[in-house]
Amino acid sequence: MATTTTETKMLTLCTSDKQQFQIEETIALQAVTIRNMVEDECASNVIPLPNVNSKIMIQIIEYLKKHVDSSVSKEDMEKFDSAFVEKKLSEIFDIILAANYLNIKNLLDICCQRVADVMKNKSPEWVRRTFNIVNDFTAEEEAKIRKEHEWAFEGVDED
Amino acid sequence: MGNGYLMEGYPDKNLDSFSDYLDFLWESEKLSDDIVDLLPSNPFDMDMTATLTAITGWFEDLEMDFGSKALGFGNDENEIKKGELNMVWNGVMFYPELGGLTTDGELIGSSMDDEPRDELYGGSSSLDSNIMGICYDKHWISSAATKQHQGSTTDSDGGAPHDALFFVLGYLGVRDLLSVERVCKSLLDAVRTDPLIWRSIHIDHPLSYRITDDALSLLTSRSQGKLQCLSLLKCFNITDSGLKCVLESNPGLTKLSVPGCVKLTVEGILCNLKEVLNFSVTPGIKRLRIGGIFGVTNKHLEEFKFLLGADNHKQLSAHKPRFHCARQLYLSVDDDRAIDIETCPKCQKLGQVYDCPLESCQVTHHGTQLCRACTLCIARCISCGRCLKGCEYEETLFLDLICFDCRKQLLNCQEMQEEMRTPHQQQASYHFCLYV
Repeated sequence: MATTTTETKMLTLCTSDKQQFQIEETIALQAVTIRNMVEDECASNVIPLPNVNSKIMIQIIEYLKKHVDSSVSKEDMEKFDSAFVEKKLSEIFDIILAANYLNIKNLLDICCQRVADVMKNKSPEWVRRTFNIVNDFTAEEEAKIRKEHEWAFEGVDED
Repeated sequence: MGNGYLMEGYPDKNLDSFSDYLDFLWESEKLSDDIVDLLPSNPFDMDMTATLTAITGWFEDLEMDFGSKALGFGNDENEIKKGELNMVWNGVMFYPELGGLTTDGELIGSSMDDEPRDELYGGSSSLDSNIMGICYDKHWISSAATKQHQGSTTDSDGGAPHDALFFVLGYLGVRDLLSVERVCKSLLDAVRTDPLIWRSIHIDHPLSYRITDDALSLLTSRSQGKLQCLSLLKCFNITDSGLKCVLESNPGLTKLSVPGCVKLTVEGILCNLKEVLNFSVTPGIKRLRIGGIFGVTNKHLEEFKFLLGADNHKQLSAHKPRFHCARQLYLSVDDDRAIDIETCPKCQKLGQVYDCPLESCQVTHHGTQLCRACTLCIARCISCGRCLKGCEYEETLFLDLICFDCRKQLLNCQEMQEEMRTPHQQQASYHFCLYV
């Protein structure tokens, strides 16, 4: 019995919307948070993940499944990663929060890098528009902040 | 020596005498088949190698400027469409600036008089290197296909930045951080008060030629003394005293990269490193990049190695091989070498020494026969870094050499780009075709 359990031990993850996901332990343990829970034995068979919903969990499991496979070459893994982050930014944001909560460093890295790439060379106005942020500065405040590092903004596209 | 390009030891010689020398060579060739017999060994008291080093230095610099600019656009979906046009202008805007900022106007002036600059304004020659830069970046192709993916994200609460955005701050470059802090108060607060975001500061084109000592000091102060890695790529305005301020207030700095910062002197850097070692209890700087700074002697190198605590006995093979590549002419601080310059095994001069990516070169040669030297001793393809022995290659407009394999790849890449372009942009790429 001991041999069968070590090979295909399954964990059940319970998301915020009460969906249950059964996955192999080796896959789930890549998430440091889950590993800690299992090691500390603070979770029984079902691991509650109140900060992750099922929609995001499906994507994270897809990512973890690929990354647990050591036979995948480095190049293929990079291809997978860059295809993986080709999602809507709102979705990426949710994955970032989940990856941070589950403590999956590499996933957090690729998602943050993806957003950082999108934001490259963008004006503050573009950032506000794209991420739906309200400008709460007065005109004077904004001018003051800009002036402090004026040297950096020559030639920035205002859009 | 404000300008590193000026040949040290020959301050009175400029390019005019060099071209005279070439004329002389040409004329003597007409008279006799064996010109070596006719030529005095050193006709104008000039060291040809030093001159060539200086000239290669310019072109490496120029190539890098355009290359890095293009890379900047590489991952940037929104920018791509109009980027094709912007690239020309960005390139052009930078070009005269270079001449203006270096103190030795004569050298720069004589190398780029009005004729080539006109071509730049026409957009053809600058596109050459820009598009090459883009092609190097594999990510560009894949990300261009997903332009439509970025729409406004719908935040339920609307107005405040999404929590996830704060995680992204650590991944942004200096210019983007300075832009993001102007978005709203909470982001301003996050960017200004979190020293972790500023632990590693990397300045390259286009900020590199605008940043001054004061601006650098203001930026680095945001790390609140926790700066670990400072990388200044060709920052023409940074001086020894500016660097000194930064080093004094950031004793935890372990990686310093100042390649191509021509206002810095070897003595100044050496002096700064010594001081850091004197007053700090921390390990001090462990990795130094000074490629492109002229006047480094063997004595300097020994002192640098001592200060960095570099292990002289570490086998070369222990390091990752270093290839010649337009994308990264200077060694990254992530490489585990302590210093980026070394003695070329062939000419025994100090400089950046490259390995050969060809498997046949790595296997068949041993010891001194290794295909490993500075670019003057072994010419290499600017794209893949292979040696050009026994292979067909071409010279680009920027006097870089490119092997036929890479050239073919570039043309294929260009065809793929054309499929995605409007006719108006296609015109630009035909120029490119002519100049590869």
